[in-house]
Amino acid sequence: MATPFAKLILPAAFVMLAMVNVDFLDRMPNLCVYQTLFHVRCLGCGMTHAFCAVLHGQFAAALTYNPLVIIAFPVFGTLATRQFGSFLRVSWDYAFLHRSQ
Amino acid sequence: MPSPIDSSREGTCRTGSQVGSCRRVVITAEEALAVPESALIQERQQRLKPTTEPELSVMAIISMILGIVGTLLVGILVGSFAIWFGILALRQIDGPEQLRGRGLALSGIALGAIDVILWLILILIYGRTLFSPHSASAYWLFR
Repeated sequence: MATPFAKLILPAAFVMLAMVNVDFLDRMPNLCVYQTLFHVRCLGCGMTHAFCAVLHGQFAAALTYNPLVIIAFPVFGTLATRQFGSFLRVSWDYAFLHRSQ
Repeated sequence: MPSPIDSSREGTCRTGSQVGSCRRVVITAEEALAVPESALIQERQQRLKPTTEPELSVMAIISMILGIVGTLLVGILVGSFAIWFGILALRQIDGPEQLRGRGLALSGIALGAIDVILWLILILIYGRTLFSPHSASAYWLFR
């Protein structure tokens, strides 16, 4: 039986983005391979900033970082919410059924 | 009547796989038919019974640690997880495993509850200033 704790990864990412300021993300190194190799912004560049801005209620700023956040944030937000609910349900059963062997 | 489980033959049995803290012993079909089934089952169950004392629940330890950490940094996140892991630990302890650590789990729940209550008091007192725009301190509330 797999552990239910992997279902906390996506919700934890959202919580960490909510705890962190957008200015903090500006000071972080760029992780995009396209931008480091070809100096061209890819389709997903700025998505972390956009998610962080949406989580802080700065919707206009989020659209300037990446307009695709209109599609991406509902999708990943729903996924994170569902995975957290799944964590609560599966860990409830896991606590009773899990054996050390 | 031969004993169904012969400890002298333990080293030579073909499938010496570990089950819990005991060794599974294979007997031949003649031996199995020679003894009544109930006696066989009883002896096998006695053999498979773990001799060591029950282990400490990992969930209870996690709950205690989260409770201490959450009380130190008064937030809502860590404390609520301490309560949830404490509830899970109590469920695990009452389950078929018979683990130890009920006190740890209960104190983890208590510390988590204290943390959440302190957070609510903090919000009631300082909420107006902490949630105002241009306030950087709002991030410190969600730890």
